[in-house]
Amino acid sequence: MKEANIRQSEIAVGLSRELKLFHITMMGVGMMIGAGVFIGIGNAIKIAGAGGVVLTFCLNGVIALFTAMSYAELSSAMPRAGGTYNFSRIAFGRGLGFLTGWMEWFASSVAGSLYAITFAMYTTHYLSQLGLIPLADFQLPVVEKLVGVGIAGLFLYINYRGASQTGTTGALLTLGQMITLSFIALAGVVVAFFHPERLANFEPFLPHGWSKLLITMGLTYVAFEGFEVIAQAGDETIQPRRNLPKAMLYSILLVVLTYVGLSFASVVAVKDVGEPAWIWIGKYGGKGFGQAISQLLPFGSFLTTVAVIFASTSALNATIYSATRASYALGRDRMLPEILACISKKNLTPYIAVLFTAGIVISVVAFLPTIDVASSASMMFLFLFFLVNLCAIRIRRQMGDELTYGFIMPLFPFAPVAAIITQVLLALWLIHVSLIAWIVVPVWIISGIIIYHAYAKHKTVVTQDEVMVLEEEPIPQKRRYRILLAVANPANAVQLAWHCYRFCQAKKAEVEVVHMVPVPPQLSFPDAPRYILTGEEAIGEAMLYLSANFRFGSTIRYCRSISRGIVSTASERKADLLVMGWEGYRRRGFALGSTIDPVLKRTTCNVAILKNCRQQRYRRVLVPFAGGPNSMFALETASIFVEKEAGQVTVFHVSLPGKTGVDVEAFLRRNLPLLKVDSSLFKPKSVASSNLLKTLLDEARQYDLVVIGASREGLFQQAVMGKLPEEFARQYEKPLIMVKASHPIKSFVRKWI
Amino acid sequence: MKTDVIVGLAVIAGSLGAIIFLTLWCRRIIENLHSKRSKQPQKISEETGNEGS
Repeated sequence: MKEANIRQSEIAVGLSRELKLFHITMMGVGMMIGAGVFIGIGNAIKIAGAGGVVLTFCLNGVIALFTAMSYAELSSAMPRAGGTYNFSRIAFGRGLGFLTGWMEWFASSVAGSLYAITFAMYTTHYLSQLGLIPLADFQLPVVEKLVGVGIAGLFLYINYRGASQTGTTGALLTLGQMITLSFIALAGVVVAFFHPERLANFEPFLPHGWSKLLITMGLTYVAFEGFEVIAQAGDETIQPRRNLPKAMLYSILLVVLTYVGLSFASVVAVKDVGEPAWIWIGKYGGKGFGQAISQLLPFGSFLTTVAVIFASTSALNATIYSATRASYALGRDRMLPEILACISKKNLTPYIAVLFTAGIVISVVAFLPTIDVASSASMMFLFLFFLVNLCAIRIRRQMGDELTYGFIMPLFPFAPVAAIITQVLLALWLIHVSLIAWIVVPVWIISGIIIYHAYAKHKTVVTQDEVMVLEEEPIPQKRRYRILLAVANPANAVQLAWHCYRFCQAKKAEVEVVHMVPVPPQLSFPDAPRYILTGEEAIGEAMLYLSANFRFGSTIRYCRSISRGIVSTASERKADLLVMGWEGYRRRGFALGSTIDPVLKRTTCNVAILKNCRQQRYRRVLVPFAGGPNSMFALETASIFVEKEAGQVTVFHVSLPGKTGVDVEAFLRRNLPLLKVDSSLFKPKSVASSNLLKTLLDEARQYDLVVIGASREGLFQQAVMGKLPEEFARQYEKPLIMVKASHPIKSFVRKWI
Repeated sequence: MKTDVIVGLAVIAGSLGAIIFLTLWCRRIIENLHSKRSKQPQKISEETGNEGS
């Protein structure tokens, strides 16, 4: 390579944006319809029967579409090379992110090897049958390997030449393949139309019953793997937020229709064989499809060979593209050596990534039992599909409001959850995968783990969406109840620290102070230190109050979103209580503001939000009470802040006229002993009113402090109950603490999903 | 016609119908979001300050 090539970091040389919707759709279709489906049809008919094979592809199509919707949503929000690696890194952190990219690279590369060897096997076999290459049987494997290496080399070169060449070549090959396959499917429909008696071939429809469908679905699901290559093209696609999701959905639709058409054609093709069609096709196993098509058309065998050649080359082209972009993304983020992200100045392609991918593809083709090794790719792709559905749920829940989506999937979270469950069931077929694959996959994963800990963990750079630790002096080990105090500016830090002190005293807690430095998306993280001074001052103020009496730690972090930074820190530090302030401002569309709302919703520990709280004594404390899940924590908080001598906590319940309210007295009698507080501090009070908010505001004016539970969660509950606590908090101008108690099951689910 | 044939054909028709319907639905969502975004001026950074104190 004579032209000057430069590192991406030195001069902004990016991948070229040349791929259109047509290119990437064809790339997805090309990678999906590999040679596997031709073998899969015969095997599926053998197990599930003639009707079962069509059912299998239809049902698999629905599952694949659900997964494609997850891919589509994530790619539209993060259209960058790397695909699943990007999603996994953002959703689950660097470790799993690296492992995902590492597996993506290998799976795509070995799948490419399989397609190269498939091409070689079919062409050499066909040419030797025609007598064009006279070969002895012992020479055939060597020639196949040579042809495999040659075709892999050719497509590696095309991938090096440029995205446009890759896209155009892939599109042409896929188009040729689609024309051939559509012709076969159409021939099946025509035959069924003119010979309706052939439809009897579908009887018995499911000879072994419905239970066998799960096996055939597992067996053929591999034929739907491939559309994820589209996610890799985020950096090179024109209008990626619009075109990536469209291409994924279109490619699934095209592929399902093709598979159903081919299955139908292969069944109606069979005539005069003297036994049921499904038994006859099943007898040939993997070769059943070819045998059936040779009955359908006079040149069926030739057509099948042409289809396999087109399918294997278009899939080879797409897998090499996918593998290079996966390794490029790892290099770009310094998870692997930066050299992998080098981009050719002339062709604007990641030429070093192409070179390393070539190493894997050609080695597997030339020196290893390719078919066995390549079945490990199916295992890895199934894992990646599983993971991407989890990522879609987690990312939408945790940072959906920060992202600009080009597509938001409908039926959320039903679609990804359904896909996850069915993929777990389909994974059962993996017991049939060859032993070599079961050795290769763990070896690759373990090597990935070693590389991550030895290299990637220390070298990786912060990506746009991560939270970065800037300065920290954490408490070494959690020994007791832990409070996380989030401070933003020195002016309010003292008040917050004063209230936190009361919590610490009551709970005999240790405390960690955190300051989040929000770095706007238009700035890079290295520009952030200029914002750090405020945080250091705020922490200093809090430290004066707290560090002398309690175990104390502090941390300053950069983040794009304050709320996500706080939530992730609370989770990472295993905090039991998060204390933060609220100045009372909010943006339209939010109950308490764009920071407080997500914190209340997503934090897995107890939360206390303080508004207008100053260093003062609270003699009269009001706890508005509706019997919700936060009531106990509100009562506990009130008991912590009320003056123990001459203080009073009024537990106030407003019921609608004519309706039976909650029995406050009975609740207090039952629950106060659990809190181990002096019950004489608490006084119940109930009134009836049709205007709950006004009554509450009028009552609250007489008190020094109000402690109120946040709204119950859930759309239904909020639709019925409204967001009364939040509305109250907005309108009330005196000291207020809004609390939310953690729920063990919900917290556990939120932590992992 | 046997029950499993009827149910099987219904599942095939249902699955294909669902795939086509979902694809068209998703396409509509993409187009709606795209047209909404192209009508809006470039969104200015929403948050410049720290609401939590």
